[in-house]
Amino acid sequence: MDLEELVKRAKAGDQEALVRLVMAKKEEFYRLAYVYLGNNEDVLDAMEDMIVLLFENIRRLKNGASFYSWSKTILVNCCHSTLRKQKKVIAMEEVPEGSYQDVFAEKEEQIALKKHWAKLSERQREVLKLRFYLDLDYESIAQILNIPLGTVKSRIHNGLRLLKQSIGGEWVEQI
Amino acid sequence: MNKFENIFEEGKAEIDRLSAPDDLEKRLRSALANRRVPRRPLQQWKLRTAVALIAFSLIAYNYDALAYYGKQFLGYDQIMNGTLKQLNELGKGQLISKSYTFKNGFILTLDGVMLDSNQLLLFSTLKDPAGKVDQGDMMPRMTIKGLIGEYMENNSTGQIGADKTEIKSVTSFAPPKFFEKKLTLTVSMIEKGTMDNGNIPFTLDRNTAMGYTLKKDINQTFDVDGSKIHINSILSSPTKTVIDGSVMNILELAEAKLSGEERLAHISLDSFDLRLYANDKELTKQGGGMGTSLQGIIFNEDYDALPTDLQKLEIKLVSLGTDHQVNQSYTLKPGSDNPALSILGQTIEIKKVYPSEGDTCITLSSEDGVVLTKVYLLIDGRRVSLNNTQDDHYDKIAEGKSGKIIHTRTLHFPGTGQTLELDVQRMTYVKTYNEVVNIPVK
Repeated sequence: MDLEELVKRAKAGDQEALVRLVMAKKEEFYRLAYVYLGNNEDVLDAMEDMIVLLFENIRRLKNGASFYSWSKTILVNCCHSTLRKQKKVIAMEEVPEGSYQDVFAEKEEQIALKKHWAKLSERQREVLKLRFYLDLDYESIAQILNIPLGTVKSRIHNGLRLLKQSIGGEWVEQI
Repeated sequence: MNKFENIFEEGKAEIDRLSAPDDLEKRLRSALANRRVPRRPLQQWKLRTAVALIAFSLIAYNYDALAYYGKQFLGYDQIMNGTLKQLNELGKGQLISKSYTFKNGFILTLDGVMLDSNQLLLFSTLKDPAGKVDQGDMMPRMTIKGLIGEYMENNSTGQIGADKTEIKSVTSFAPPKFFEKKLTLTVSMIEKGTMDNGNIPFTLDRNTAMGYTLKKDINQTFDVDGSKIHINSILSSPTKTVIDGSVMNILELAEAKLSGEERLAHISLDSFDLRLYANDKELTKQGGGMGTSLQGIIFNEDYDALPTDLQKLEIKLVSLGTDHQVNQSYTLKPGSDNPALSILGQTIEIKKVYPSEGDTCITLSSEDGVVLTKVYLLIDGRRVSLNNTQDDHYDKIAEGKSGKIIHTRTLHFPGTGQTLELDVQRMTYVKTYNEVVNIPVK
């Protein structure tokens, strides 16, 4: 069954069609949310929020072909609202349990990197992650974030410049 | 490749290692479970806008209507006459909406009042949630207590709702004195032998009072065949028009008593037909009253309210029933072939004369309004009084354009005999006069 047909069914209230649409690109959705949220539980919560919103609003989607960019925009919005909530709620256990991947070196580097990342604005980090972690092209980013292409470009450009300044300077010092 | 680019390499590598967990699909399904197809949000929005627009346009268009519906007494259409309906539609009443709950569960609500110079009208609803409002043992009279006086109800019109849960009524009282503001309505209900007095206090808002439209002393007299009907005054208010008059003032009463010519001594409101014409149109009669006071026999006749464009106002005495001396005897014989009697120009047909159960019965008929007010029967020379009158019936008879009513009845005199003589001493009859008194309007 093709995309158009599934979207049509989903619009008619067919939940199964909607689940199939999301599952067809589950990795893309999952990774996108992970870029924002960084842990499995939050990603799953965000995706649950997303699919409910998709179900309730799919009638408003005029062009069935743009289902994925539309639904990813919604997922990003869900991630943003999750992050907003997290700012208000301070978890009892702030430091997550270390995973097997974590080695001290990595930890240190991560801490160092976080410092650089911290110099960027939230919006710049978002665009850079989408561009480089998910390999999304400018146009896709613009669609998902629902912002003009020029804005995507300028945010990436400025973000990279800031990172270079930050890391480069430090790096120079280290050399 | 510098360190800087590694940032993304590391991050990208981490992301690339990720794969959606197996329970994703399950979680997605459970999130959707119990979700119904929502109402079309856009449609709902449209609907809301439409409803708002319709409501707005209706309210805007009918703003005046709604404004005065707010002041109307609702549900009284059936028991209001045209004039009251109009006044109600104009919101001329004062809303009260106060209730009293009786011990038996009945609830009396004073919905509102309407006040003008002629009367205070109370609009009230008696409710019985049990649907047995017609079985309530309510005292038929309402009273209103004021600062000084107590006002008794004059008359009342009511209607029981089809489901017998409520009675709506309009009750008329004399208008309270000008200084009365705080009043208390009292209605009594008898419940298991004990009286339950319900009091509803209310404050009269004199600003809503309607006053009068025409108030005039008339002081004119209809003098017909020596009988005098005095018209003293007229008071017209938005709810009704009242004409006050007297039949005999106290001097005339004394005169009549002395002369023995008590033509009008036994007059009743039914005796005369007084009509009110405004702009040549007859106003509906609503009621009236009569009483004897130091002023003589006084009466009031109530009519509908005057029209607003009043040009001409006339009071017409259509007819008057007066009592006359006759003092004549008529010989009757048993059977059905007695000739008709002609007394003071009135025809009385003797239908049948017969004995029955020791009585002598005389069946006679006359035009309605003709009454033998003082009559005896001489049986073999012995004068006996009328015992009773039975079997009255009335027949409408068409006579040209107008009709007349023939009243047939049977007079019972005690005792029987061979020779019978009807001794008619006094008789009342109605005479048509159609005399008019013109009331200057300006």
